[in-house]
Amino acid sequence: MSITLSNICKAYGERRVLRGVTLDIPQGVTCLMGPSGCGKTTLLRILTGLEAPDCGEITGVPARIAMVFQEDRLVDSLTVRANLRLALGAGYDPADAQALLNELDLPDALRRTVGALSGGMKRRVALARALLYDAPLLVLDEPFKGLDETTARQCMDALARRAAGRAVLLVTHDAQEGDYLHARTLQMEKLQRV
Amino acid sequence: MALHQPLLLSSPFRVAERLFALLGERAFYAALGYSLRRIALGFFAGFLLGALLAMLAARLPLMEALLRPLMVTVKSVPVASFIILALIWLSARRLSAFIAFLMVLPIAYGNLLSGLKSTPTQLLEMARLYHVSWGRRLLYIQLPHIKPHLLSALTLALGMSWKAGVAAEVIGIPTGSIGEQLYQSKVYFDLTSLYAWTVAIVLVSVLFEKAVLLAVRLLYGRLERL
Repeated sequence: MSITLSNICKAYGERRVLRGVTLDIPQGVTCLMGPSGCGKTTLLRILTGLEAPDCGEITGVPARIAMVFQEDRLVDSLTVRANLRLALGAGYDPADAQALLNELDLPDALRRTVGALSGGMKRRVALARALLYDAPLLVLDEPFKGLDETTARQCMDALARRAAGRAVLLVTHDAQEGDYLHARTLQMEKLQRV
Repeated sequence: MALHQPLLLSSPFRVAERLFALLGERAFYAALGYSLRRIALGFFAGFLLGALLAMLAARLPLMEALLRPLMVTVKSVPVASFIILALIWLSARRLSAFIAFLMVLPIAYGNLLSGLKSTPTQLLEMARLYHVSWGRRLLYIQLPHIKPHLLSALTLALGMSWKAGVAAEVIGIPTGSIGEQLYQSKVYFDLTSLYAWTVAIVLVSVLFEKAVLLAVRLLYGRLERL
């Protein structure tokens, strides 16, 4: 599977965010870095079909995509289990969910209401939802934001185990995350057409 | 100011006495059952249709535009006008159900539509990305989100359905209804019975409201523990 974005352009009014971005996403972890506001999230939204580009071509994108958004996007009034069921549907496997939550140091989270969890715990639940979803492409927008170093490493270990055979596009500001995951690292500015 | 005139103002003691006397009469329960069945039928039908129309309107802006004048009309036209018009088309026996239905419909529609339209787009976007089915989206995203709107609509609509339903019965005077009893109290200037029936209506209305709200809260409790 090879996913390719060619000459992607996107502007919001006069502001040109993406100027002919070309990128291929092979299997394994690809780390996308760049300063805030340089268009990383816009590129992810275009890749996942949540926004349409003004120009350019995208090929090879699978029908099923898992994503960790910049925000957690969980239903606060429901339990972690219900939030996972919401996204995974018939693909929800309680044993697998519990095993992953154990890896993410959330052993008792399934029955807890999301609204009662801390920010870091919610972030890990959002990551668990993406990792449990059976999709060949994982799109992660700053998934370890707000986590302490030890917890972030636990999450990266879980990601590394579950990323096998999948294409992962990881947006981060922390180069060490890319190094830890042995990821191919790309700088957003270099993908823009001059 | 002391009136000392039971014709104008009955004492609470006399009202309580009359109410206890009513509690021993089979006709009292028959009248309560008659009105409760019809008003509850109108209430649930109005609420269900209002909810279905709100779901359609939340998805289809054209539907919302088409329904707006209808809902504004139903909300603005005086209940008495509807009652008199309905008496021409319907039998008095069906009047309270129809009027309760009409009063509840715009309340349910308006509140639920506003709740559905304010569902966070971020959650809906997440649902779209994860190919969440319509049913799961309704159960896990929209139902929790509209909870305050739903409870507010229920509280408003429950009170309104009883007020309007009994008013319709007083005008239509279907045999064996609470409305008929109120009408008889007026005809015979029996204010003690009027107050006693009013207290009974308030009690039944409050019990009905509590039962419906409790059922909804229990359902939400189950949903939140899923």
